[in-house]
Amino acid sequence: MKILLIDDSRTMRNIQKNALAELGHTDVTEACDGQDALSKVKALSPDLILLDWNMPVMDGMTFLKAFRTDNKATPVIMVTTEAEKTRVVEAIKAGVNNYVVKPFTTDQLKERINQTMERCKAA
Amino acid sequence: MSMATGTQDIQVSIASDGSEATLSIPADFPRQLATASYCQNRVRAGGVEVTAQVAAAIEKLLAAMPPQRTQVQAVVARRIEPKHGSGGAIEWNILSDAALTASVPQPSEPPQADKAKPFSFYDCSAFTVVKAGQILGREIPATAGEDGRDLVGHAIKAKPGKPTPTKLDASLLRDATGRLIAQIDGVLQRTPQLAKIDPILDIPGDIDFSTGNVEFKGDVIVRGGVRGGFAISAQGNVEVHGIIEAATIQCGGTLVAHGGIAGHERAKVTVGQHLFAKYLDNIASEIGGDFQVEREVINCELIVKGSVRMPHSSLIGGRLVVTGDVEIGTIGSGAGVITSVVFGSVPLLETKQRDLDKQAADLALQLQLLRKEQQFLVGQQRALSPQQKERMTEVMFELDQEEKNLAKVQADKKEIGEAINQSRRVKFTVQRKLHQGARLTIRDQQYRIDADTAGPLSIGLDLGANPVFSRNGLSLPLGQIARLIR
Repeated sequence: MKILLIDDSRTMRNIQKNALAELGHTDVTEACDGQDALSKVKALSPDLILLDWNMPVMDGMTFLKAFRTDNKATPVIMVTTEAEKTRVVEAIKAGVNNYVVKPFTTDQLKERINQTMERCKAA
Repeated sequence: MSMATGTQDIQVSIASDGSEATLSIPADFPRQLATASYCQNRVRAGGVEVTAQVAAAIEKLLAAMPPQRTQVQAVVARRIEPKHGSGGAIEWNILSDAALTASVPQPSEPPQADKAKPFSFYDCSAFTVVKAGQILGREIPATAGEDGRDLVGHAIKAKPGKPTPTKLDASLLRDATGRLIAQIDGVLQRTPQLAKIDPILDIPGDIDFSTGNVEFKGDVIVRGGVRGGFAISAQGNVEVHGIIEAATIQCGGTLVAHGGIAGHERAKVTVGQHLFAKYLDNIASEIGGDFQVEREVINCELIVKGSVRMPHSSLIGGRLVVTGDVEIGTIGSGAGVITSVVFGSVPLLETKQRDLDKQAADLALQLQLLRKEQQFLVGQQRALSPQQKERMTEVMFELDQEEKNLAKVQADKKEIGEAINQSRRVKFTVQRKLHQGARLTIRDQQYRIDADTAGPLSIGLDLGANPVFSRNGLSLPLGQIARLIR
């Protein structure tokens, strides 16, 4: 399974990569902001995207809206510090499939990833 | 038109050694009769074969004939000497495969000097050490030669060249292209009659400037000694008949020092298996197996991973660290020089254990710091900035990782500890005398011998792992003859 990891913090990307590796997913491409992600996403055609909200150059929400104009199917999990209800609703309306609030444990992230993939399969 | 009476005919004369034939046209010979065919007939009549070269020479002579009547002559035929064959030979070159397969033989070049390493005469080796598969040279075959031809047209046989007299033994292979390929690792030995590779490097004299340092994959025999400053590095066994001076010996197998080692505090000897020596004087050595010596061991730093057998010898000064059993004649001396023996040591495992202790301590400290940070962040939970929330995730991740690492280090420590306990042995026999002042370290406790104690006696551990000494079948606490100093 191809995964695109979008986060401006290298440490956060490493934490998420580690969690993905524990789930057996090693085909992971990284992007450091929304613009970087947009330049990679078409060629990559990922099966799953893990997306941070607050990033320089292009934030996660801007990326998501641009991405969803052409692609409604690929599941996106927002991994972010934004925990307010209004923000969560906004993200869901923009097309996010699941939401993980920082701080999170590796197990919590793994659980959300599994949950998202199962839902997408069922759909 | 015919010749007038008395006119001399065209003559062909052959040199006394048969090497050439000269055609002479007399001055009064009618020029119009001096045709190429006539001259050729005269040459034939003279017993000389008319080849294309002879015909050309005749043509040349006629073309150069002056109009006035003068005698002309020229050599029109020469004997062709045979080209005798060349003898076979072996061209020894330790070259690359590419160079030897080139059609033109390349001159051998000495290896490029390592510009980073200063030149040392110690490194100038007299031996050609080769590896299996290495191309060592090429056999140049003998040639048949080319026959010559005499004036009459008979062949003059060329002598064929003789094959090389050098025989190759089974350790060298000649392939279809004539390349000589080493079949084993070893040292190349060459005489005019025989070439071979010897898997044993046998040095007839000393290791000194005539031989240079020795580096060899197999076994090494030195019929002489090893001079100070030189080095032997051998993956196999080493046997030295003479004295080893302040040299460096690295031996993967067993070292036999028939003449002893007089190290002058500079000799360094590393032996993978066993060391057998006449004596040791001021050396540092690490021995992977057992150690036996005929005479004394003076002022040495020895680590022996096997057993020590020197029942008739003295250990004077220095330090002996030994894993296995020990049997020594005398320890220490009346002069009071400090002689230390450390028993039941497994240096490699103990070093690993110390490393793991340090790792565990570092990890514990790291965990402490992370937990403190986590506590602080948890305390701030409601007021955490986005960066602090991210940091919290990082801290939780790092805690998880470090806890796993610490658990692994502690498991490794436990395993090493068990291995150390299993490997440690304390079985020590003194046949003659244990001098006052000798230091014995047993399981990290050091004892000093109170007074000269006559042997034979044994030192070991009782069932409670307490050090005891035994003499005449009676076992007593070691404290009766030695004082615990640390």
